[in-house]
Order: sequence, then structure tokens, then C-alpha cells
Amino acid sequence: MEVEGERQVYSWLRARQFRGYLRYLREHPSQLMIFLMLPFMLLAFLPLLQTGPVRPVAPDKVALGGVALFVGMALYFLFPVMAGLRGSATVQADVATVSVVFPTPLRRATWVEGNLRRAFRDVTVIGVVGSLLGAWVLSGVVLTPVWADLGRLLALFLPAALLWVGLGVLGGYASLRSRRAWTGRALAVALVPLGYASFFFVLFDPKVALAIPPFSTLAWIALDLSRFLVGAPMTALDWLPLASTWVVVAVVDVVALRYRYELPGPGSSYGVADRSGLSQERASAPGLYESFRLLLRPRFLDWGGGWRALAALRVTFLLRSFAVGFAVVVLVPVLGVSLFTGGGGSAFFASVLLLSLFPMIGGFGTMTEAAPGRSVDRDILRSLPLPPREIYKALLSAPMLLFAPAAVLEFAISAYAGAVVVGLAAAAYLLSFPFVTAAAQLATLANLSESGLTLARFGTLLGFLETLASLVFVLPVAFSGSALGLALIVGAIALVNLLLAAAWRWQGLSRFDAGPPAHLRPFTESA
Amino acid sequence: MPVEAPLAQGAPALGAAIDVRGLTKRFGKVAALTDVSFAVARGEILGLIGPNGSGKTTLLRCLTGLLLEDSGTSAIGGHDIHKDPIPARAMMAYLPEVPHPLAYLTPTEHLQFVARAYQLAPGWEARASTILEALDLTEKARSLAIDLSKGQKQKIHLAMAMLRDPQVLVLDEPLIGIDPKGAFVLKRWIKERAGAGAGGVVSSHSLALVEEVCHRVLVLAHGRPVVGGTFDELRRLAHAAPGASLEEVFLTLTAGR
Repeated sequence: MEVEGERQVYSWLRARQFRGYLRYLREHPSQLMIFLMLPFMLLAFLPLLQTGPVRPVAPDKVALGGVALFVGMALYFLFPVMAGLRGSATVQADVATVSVVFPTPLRRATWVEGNLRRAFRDVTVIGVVGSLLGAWVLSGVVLTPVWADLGRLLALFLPAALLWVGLGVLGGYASLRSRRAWTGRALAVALVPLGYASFFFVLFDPKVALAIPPFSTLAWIALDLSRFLVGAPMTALDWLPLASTWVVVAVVDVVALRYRYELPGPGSSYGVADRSGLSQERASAPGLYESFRLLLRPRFLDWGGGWRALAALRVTFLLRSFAVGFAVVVLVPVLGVSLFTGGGGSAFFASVLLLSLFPMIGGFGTMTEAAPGRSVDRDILRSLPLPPREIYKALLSAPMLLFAPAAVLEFAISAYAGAVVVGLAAAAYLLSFPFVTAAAQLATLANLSESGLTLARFGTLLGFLETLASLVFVLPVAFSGSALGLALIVGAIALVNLLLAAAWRWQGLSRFDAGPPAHLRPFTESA
Repeated sequence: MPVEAPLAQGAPALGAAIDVRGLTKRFGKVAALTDVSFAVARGEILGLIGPNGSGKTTLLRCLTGLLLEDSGTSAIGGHDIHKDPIPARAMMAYLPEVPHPLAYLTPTEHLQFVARAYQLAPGWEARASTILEALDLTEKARSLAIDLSKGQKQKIHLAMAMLRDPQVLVLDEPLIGIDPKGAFVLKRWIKERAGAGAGGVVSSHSLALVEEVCHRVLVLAHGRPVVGGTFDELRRLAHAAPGASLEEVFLTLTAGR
């Protein structure tokens, strides 16, 4: 079959899968609610964006420090992580694709090409929507026409994001094709410190970072591109980073699109041991990451009987999950930068970043690794001789252990930077996540009917959606320098969280008290 | 216990349905396959048996090109699975160990995909209906795969394989989750395909299935071929009585491994 024919087959397949997915959403309305919730939340917080005493100024009068911090964070941290992962995902085949599509005589390169085109399309759409939002924020800061703001945002951020998509696919493919595990591990070992250094860097005010040798070039580029972003006058040399990006992105993305990929099978890269070839019958040997985790694994906690036993179990799971390590990775640089800079702008932005990232850790950490249904079987938890209120108490313990120190640190840094109100609101925001997490998990445990279960699980996703909303709004508000806007946003999210937590807790407790639904009773009684 | 030499030796088996030479695959410290070689002639079905974790699934995934081996080669109908993958895959039908159909496609749409991917001649729809009926999938033909049971999902893979006339069968635990009627259809299909000149490998813990549909057996243990041959040859090697079951022979040959 010719390549064009293969493209048509793959397009047909993707269209059918999409149609099937829409049908699935129609037949399972509670899943659809998740998607409806996101734009609702984004719209709900939209008016807060331009709150605060910021007045637009001429481009050459804009304080470039805050802008450069935002630019640096996007270019050196968010894009490599998000666009790079999106790119590498185009060569990662799920097990159904491997089972159904890969054994057919269709070229897998055509499948990758289709994925890559979709990745470019997705990133472009997100880039345009984000730039529209950014232009609106920028118009409140800089005295330039909105259309010019939009053009500059697109010219700066879109090529950078597309570059990382291309690098992601090429890097992911190189790692997949490697027959030797050490190349993947070497890549991982090289990427981790690089990524961490970038993350550390974006916490600094670039004007401070200019004086720190390892970061000075990155800081110069961030400041230079910030000058472009706000429309400040630029010299010929100032255009160099931007023009270089445009050239490199064209070369990398054309190569990524034209390359004839031949995927070996299930996706697994970046140092993750490829054990996908092992059948379910064989116990897998621990890889590098698992060995490290086993080595540092905390002992099983023993806090006594009753709800304390369940709390200890869940905290043990949490301590053994990746969430704690990730939390430390985020907290240490934030604390370090605050101490290094002695408060002020950098400390404030570091705390804002903490606000944005930390609930994500909670979302992926406490809600998955230590959540009922995965590490602890839901049925076992339900069968414990504990009143539902004590189960709730135990469920609250693990996320609280993660979030309470972050809340204290957040308040301390904000207060140190002179923003006590923001600090209070931010601490409340961070502390609200354990409550909503525990309540949603209680509701999940309490509901045995499929519809109730789906609805309760939907609650656990709210934390993630809120995180996304805060990521979208907290950063631009901080960028616009509005402390009041920031306090309002995080305070509003905290309030929503606590209200949701109260509703889910009430629902969970009443469900537990009512026992299993009627259609399941004969089975549970006979059991 | 004498270990018989690998089934494939010397020059490549010309015209063989499957030709595997020196396959070696490691997962970190786990040696999943070590220097595995064998050949399957056209019209012949090879039974692949071995204890849990002996490397059967890894072998089949390397053979189908779904996994990169560390060394060695695999050929389907004379086509190297990596150097000449398209004709190799065009000849082959693969049934995975665990059924994983595309979640948001119906059984009918899976068959439509096969018809497009393999460019089947017009008229395949009638055959598809017959297959779905034979596998008791007609009622679920328009249900999304995500809503089907494990056995029904396995039947989707089986229906996809049956829709065309593959010349090489690679079946990994094909009976798991399949009801007696489905099992009957599957066994009949394997025999029909072998009768029509197709070769294949069937990996299974069901020794009854292997005895019924396979002509020869290869026993794997710890990723290495332990012994191979016809049932009579295996009985001789195990010093078993002429009518001894494959189960007795297998237990004798793998004792202590």
C-alpha cells in the first residue's frame, strides 16, 4: 500500500476512535461532566485576571524582571516538560495499538507521522488560545495594541513550543530504538540534573541570575526575549536568539516529520526499564528507579490499632510513593531561593510557583499512589471494622502530611516577601486540598453502584482541574504583579475546595451509613 | 536429561513459515531468551510450552517484531521481520496473550480496519458476519470494546485473524477467556489453516490444545529451548510409554528446571 493509502487508513481509524469516544461519553454522562467542568472553572476565574492596581505603561518603562521570569519559566521549564513530553508521546504506542495496529502491514512511520501532525496541531491551538489570554493580560501591562501583543506572543512562544515537540519525538524515538538499556539510563541521568537546574534557574529574578555564571547566558536570553515580548526597542544582536529559534525549529520539525520511524513495540523510554515484553506470568526484576526506591524505602509505620492503623498504612504508601520525592524537589529550591535572595521579588515568585505546582503533586501523588483502588483495595478498606468517620480521619492523614509543611512554608515565604495577605490565602489554598481529596476518596469508597462510583471518582479529578485552573491564572496574575488578584484567586479556590469537601464528606458518610445499594445486598449478605 | 539440539541448524530453512535463529533478549538482569532457534515448515503447527516465565511470550513478541531482540533474527515466510517487515506482517496473524482491542471501536469496526489495512477484496462483509456469528459476537457487534467482557475482547482478536487467510499463525495463549464454542471454532480454524499450508506457533499452557492442533512441540525453560520434536520423539526422550499423555511427558522433561 502506498503511503497516502496508509494515511487514509490511519485517518479513518482515528476518526472512528474519536466517534467511539464521543459515544462513550454520551453513554456515560458523568465522564462528560469532567470536560464541561474545566471551561466553567476557567470562565469563573476569568474576571479575577485583571484585578489590582496595575496600570499599563510604555514598553520601555516595563519592569523586565517579572516578565523575564515568566518567559524563562515558559521557555526553560514548562515547554521542555509539556511540549517535550507531548512530542515523545507520539512514538509511545499504547498496548491496544500494539496489539491491533502494529501487527498489520501498515508502516508504523505513517502512524507516527499522523500523531506528530496532531501534536503540532494541538500545540498550535493551545499556543493560540494561550496567546489570546496572554495578550489580554499584556494589554493591561503594556501600552501597545492588543493585536501587536498577540503577534509577539505567538512569534515568541509558538516556535519554542513546536521546537520542543520535535525534540521530544526525536529523543523519544532514539531512546526506544536503543537496544542497550544504558543509553536510556544515560539520557535520564543527563536530563534530570539539567531539568532541575532549569527549574532552579526559573525561580531567580533573571537580573539576579545574570550574575551567576552557570545561568548568565540563559538569563540574558530570557531578558532579551522579554524585551521583544513587551515591544521594547531592540538592537540587531537582540534579534539573534529569536531568529535562531525560528531557524532551528524549522530544521528540527521538518526532520521529525520526514523521518522514517520503525517502532519496535510498546513505548518505554528515558531510562524506564523496558519490561513490556515480559508476560503477565513473569515477575519483573526491579529496574534502576525501582532499585533506588527499594533501597530508600521507609519502614512500615506502626501507629497502633483502629483508624491509626489505616492512617499508618496510607502514610506508609505515601512515603513510598514518588510524591514525597517530588515535593522535596519542589520545596528545596523554593526555600533556597527565598533565603538566597533575602525575600522580595524572587521569593514572591518562588512562592507563586510553589502554589501552582504543589497541588499537582497532591493530585498525582495522594490521589493515585496512596488512593483506595490502587495501593489499597477498595473492598478490603470497606470491610474494615471502622466507623466511616474514622475512615475519613485516616484518609485525611496522608495528604495532610504532604500539604501542611508546604502551607507553612508558603506563608513564611510570602510574609518574608512582605505579602502577608497572599500568604494567608495561599496557605488556606494549600490546606484545602487534603480535605477535598479525603472527602472525595471517602465518597468513592462509600458508593458501590456504578453511577455513584463514577460520580465520586469525578470528585477526585476536581483537584487536578483546579490545579490546571490555578496554573493558568495564578501565573499571569503574579506576572501582572497584582497581589490582591492573586489572593482573591487562591482564596476563591480554597473556598470552592472546602465547600466541595463538605459536600463529598456528607455524601460519603451518609452512603456508608445506608449500606450497599439494594441490588448488591444479596451478594454482600451471602458473602 | 538429554537436551536435544535446537530445531533449526545450518543454512536458513528455505520456504519455512517461521525461521528463528539465535534469539537473545534480556530485560535488565532478567535473561528472558537465550540463543533460541527453531523453524516451522509450511502446513505445520509448533506447540510452544514451558513453565510460567519461561520466555514464551517474549519469544512470540520478538518473532512478530513487537519487541527488539538483543541479537538473533526472525523471519516470517522468508522475510526478515525487521529488514522486510511489511510483507512479513502481511503473511502473519497474531493473537496476543492478553486481549487489548481498541477501546472505542466496535467489533465490526475492528474488522473494517482489518479489511482496510490488508486491502481485502469486496465481499469481506459477508465473511465477517459469518465469523461474528460463529463466535457469538453478533449481538455485541456494535458495542464498544471497552464495554465487553475479557472473553469477548479475545474473540475480537480472533475474528480479526480469521477474517483473512493468514499464511503464518502466531497465537499466544489463544484459549484464555474463550468459551467452549469459541474454543471449538478456534481449534477448527487452526487445523483448517494448517491444512491449507499455513504454518504457525501456538503458545499455551493447555496441553490438550497443543496435543490436538500441533504437529511438534518446543519446550522452553528459563528462556532456553530444553527439548523439541514430535510427540512420539518427546515420549521417547522422557522414557514414557507409547500412549503417555503430553502432560506426563512435559512434567518429566521439565522436572527440576
